Amino acid sequence: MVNSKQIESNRSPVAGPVLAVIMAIIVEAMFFGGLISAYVLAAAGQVEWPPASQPRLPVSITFTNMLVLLFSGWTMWQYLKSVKKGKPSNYLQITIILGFIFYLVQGYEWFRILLFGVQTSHSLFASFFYTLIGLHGFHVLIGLLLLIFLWRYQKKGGKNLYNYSLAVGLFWFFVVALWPILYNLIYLN
Amino acid sequence: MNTHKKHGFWHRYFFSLDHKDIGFQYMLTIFFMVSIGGFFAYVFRMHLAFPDMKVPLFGLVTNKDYNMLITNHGLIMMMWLALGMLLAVAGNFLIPIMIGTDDMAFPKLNKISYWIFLLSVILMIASFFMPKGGLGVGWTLYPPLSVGDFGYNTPYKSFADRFFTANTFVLLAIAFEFTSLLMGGINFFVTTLNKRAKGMSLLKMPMVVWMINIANLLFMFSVGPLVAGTFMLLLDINVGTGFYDAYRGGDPLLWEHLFWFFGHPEVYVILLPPLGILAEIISVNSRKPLFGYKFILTLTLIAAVLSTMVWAHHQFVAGIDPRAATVFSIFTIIISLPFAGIILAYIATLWKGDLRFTLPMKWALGAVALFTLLGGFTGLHLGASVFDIYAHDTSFVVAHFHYTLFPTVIFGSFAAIYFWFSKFSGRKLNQTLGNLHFWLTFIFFNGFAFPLFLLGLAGQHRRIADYRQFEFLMQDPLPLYRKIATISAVILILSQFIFLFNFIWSLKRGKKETEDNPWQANTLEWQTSSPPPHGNFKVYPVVNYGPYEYNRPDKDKDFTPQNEI
Repeated sequence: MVNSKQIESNRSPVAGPVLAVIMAIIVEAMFFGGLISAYVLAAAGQVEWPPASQPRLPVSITFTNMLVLLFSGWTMWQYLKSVKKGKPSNYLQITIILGFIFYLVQGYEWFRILLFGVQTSHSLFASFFYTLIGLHGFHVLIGLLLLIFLWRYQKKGGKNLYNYSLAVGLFWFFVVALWPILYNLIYLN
Repeated sequence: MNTHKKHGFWHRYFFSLDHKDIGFQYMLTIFFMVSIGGFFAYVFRMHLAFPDMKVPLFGLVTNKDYNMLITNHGLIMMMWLALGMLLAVAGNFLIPIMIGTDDMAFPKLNKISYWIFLLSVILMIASFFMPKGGLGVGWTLYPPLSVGDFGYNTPYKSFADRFFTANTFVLLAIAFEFTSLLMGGINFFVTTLNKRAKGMSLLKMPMVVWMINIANLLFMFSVGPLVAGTFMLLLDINVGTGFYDAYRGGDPLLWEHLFWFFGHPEVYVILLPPLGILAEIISVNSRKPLFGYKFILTLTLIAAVLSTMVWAHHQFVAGIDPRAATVFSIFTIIISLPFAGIILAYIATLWKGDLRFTLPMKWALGAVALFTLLGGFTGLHLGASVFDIYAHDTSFVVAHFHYTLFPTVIFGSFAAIYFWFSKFSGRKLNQTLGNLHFWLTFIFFNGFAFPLFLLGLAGQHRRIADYRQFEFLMQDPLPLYRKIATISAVILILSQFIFLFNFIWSLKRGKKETEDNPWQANTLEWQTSSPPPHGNFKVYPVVNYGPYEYNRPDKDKDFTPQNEI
């Protein structure tokens, strides 16, 4: 097989992996857009939202947790800057640790609320709560796996590190940026 | 450099990384799905025309069977044939070779997308064999019908009872298929942007490459909400959430909006690649440059944007605000303008051309004629909410969408197959059988779909299994129309066996293609050997000319290959 790098071709300024992730983010944004608009419409149709019988959600812990996630976005940005200079820094590992802290705290809260007796079949609010938070959690997990993959790639001394880290970084920024929107809609409403 | 090794069966049909092999894998899988969808169509058409008859190869059709047959016919043809054939197959075969490169940007991702596609096919087939039988809720899967008796009302049902149902399996199959198409689409887009041959600027790309990519972008933009809706429907069935349960504050109409937000752009996702294929074929066979390359491109982009603003015309009778209905009516009618422009550009390409009535050209002209005259034109009527409220869910709608989809999906695919077969297989299809296939398909497609307009105007509802309970639908000549439609449909299906035989026989025993460029075309795929080697080109082309420079005054031959110096 011919090595594609040998072929002279007409390239756009954006590298393949980055372009692929940008496309994936557009799809994801539309996916969450569909869910969020469904949530907003459902909420608009109710007299009382969230329903009075619902246990209150842990607003302040989640807010602190949100700050942790936002900070991980900043550390990822620092890492990208260091890769661009050619000297990958330890900010990548810090991002991974912060991501895990967010994931564990959020997962713990999730199960605690479940133990309070909020079940998906009880109300529309609970249905949306578990679906939206769960899907965001799933994306955080994918983001963490990608970050770990990136770490391994960096340790192996991969040549395409900047493009891969930019691709993974963009996905992580998407996951980070999504959370304040969900927090605002679901916890603060 | 290009070591063309012979690979074994498993390697070629399962593990290959070559875009042509993967395209062929998709194509065979889709042929298999279409034969199922076609068989279903045959069974329920027979039942509609001759109720109480034991349909050969199936037996007596009960009402439940009828629902299951129409549902799965629709799902298979829309999701697996139309989307699969025009995005996955056309994209895989055409994009890398037409832009002059060796393969996709991410060949492994391409292989994985085929595997996921295969998984979706397996899930879809498995759904027929669930304990409660196949899915029979209509291909649009509207809740609460599609949630069935699984939700809130039946908490005693075990998870296995809910999971092993056709509802769950079909939804999973759709989700997997879209994942596969999305991965493929990202691959096509990156390939097109980053791997074009030297000298091939964006405006020197063949129209079909543009069209497949625009269709892909439209698909990616619109599919997210449907996947979200599908996910919520899956949860409603399996976990007992209440998104579509009006009793708990949910809204069944939510599904209709999420579904058609994708569903209407989808018909343009399906329409654009065949329009690209037609552009190639019409230009080559009229020996003239494509009329208005940039004009067509601009109109396509306008249509793509408009297509995301028309979806609620599917809900004119679902209880939508009449003011909103007016807006959607207006957008729906406006969107026919860009397509009228594109078709006019094709007709202008034909004008005073040196026409060659080859087989692909016949298919292309057939597609343009039927799509414009009957498909597009009746769309204008249905777009107006005043008429739609009368015709909604009647056979008129069935005839309309068969006249839009059949000419584009089926005629377009056949045009492409008859056009590119010799390039990718190295052998020629039999022309006599090809002509027979074209004329039988053309005549009996009309024989099948046209009577449905008349039946629809007479008030024949599309989801009724047995019309004998409605006296006004049994008056002469309506049963006769139904019989004409059915007999034509059966002949239409039978004549596809001519093609199947021709395809398989020519693949193995057909006359060898001796020329690299039998149609004297300009685009890059014709400038390499037939079949192309692994890696597509011996010497990678450098592009100097546009794709449609036929009859240049400064050349002595009437075509100018894109890579000519």
